[in-house]
Amino acid sequence: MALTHNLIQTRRLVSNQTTITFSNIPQTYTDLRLLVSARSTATGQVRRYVNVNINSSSSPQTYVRSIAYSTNNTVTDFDNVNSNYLVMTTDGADSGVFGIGELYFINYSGSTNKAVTCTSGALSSGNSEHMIGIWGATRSTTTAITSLQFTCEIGDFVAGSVFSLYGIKKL
Amino acid sequence: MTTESVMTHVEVNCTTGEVIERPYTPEEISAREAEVTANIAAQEERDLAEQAIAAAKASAEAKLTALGLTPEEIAALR
Repeated sequence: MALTHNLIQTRRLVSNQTTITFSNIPQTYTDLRLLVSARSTATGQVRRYVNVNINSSSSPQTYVRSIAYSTNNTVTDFDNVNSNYLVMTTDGADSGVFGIGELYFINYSGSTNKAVTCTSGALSSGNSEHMIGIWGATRSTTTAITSLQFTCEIGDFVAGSVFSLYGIKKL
Repeated sequence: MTTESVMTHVEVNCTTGEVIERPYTPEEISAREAEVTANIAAQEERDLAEQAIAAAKASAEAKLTALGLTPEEIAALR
C-alpha cells in the first residue's frame, strides 16, 4: 500500500512540442508513476509510439522487455530488446482522441530491482488500427533515474498532451 | 515530420518547478531528423511483422474451416 502518492510535476502542453523532459527528479520516493495522455502530429497512421529516454542516455531504450499487445481481436506476445512501449494516437485518429499510458518505475533511486511496468492504449473508433498493450521491462542500468525525456516516434506532441509524474512511498 | 522552425523542447525541473521552453539547437535538429528516419525504418519492420502474423492467422483459420470447424469454434480457440 502506498504511504504517499504525491504529484511531483504535471505539464499540459499549450502548443505543439517536440520534447518534454522531467529533470532533477527528487530521490526521496521509492517508486515513480507517470501518467501520459498524448497525441502526435504524425500523419499516415492512427497510432505511434512514445520514445522514453532515461537520464539523457544516448540510447533511448535501455530495456529488456516482454510484451503482450493487441492490434485486432487477438493478443500477441512478443519479446524484444530496445523497443518502445507507450502508444499514442496520431493525426489519422479521430479528432481530439488521445492515447493514454501509465509507466511505473520500481525502486527508481536504488541500484537493484529495476522493474518497469506499463499499460497503454491508442484507440480510434473509425479505424481498426488500434493498439492496447501491457509491457514489462527491466532496466539494464543500475543508476538512479534523475530525468525522463519523452519524444514522439515521429512528429511532435500536440497541444493538450499531458504528462504527470507522481512519487510513491510504500508503507 | 516536423519542420525545423517548430522543434521545441520543454524542460520541467521537478525540484524547483521551473519550466524552460526553448527551440532545438541545429545539432539537436540533425539528431532528431536522424532519429525520425530510424524510427520510420523500425516502424516499417514492425508493420511487416504484424502483417506476417495476420497472414498466418488468416491461413490457419482457412485451414481450420476446411477441416469443418465453424466460425464459432474457431473463435473459441483464440
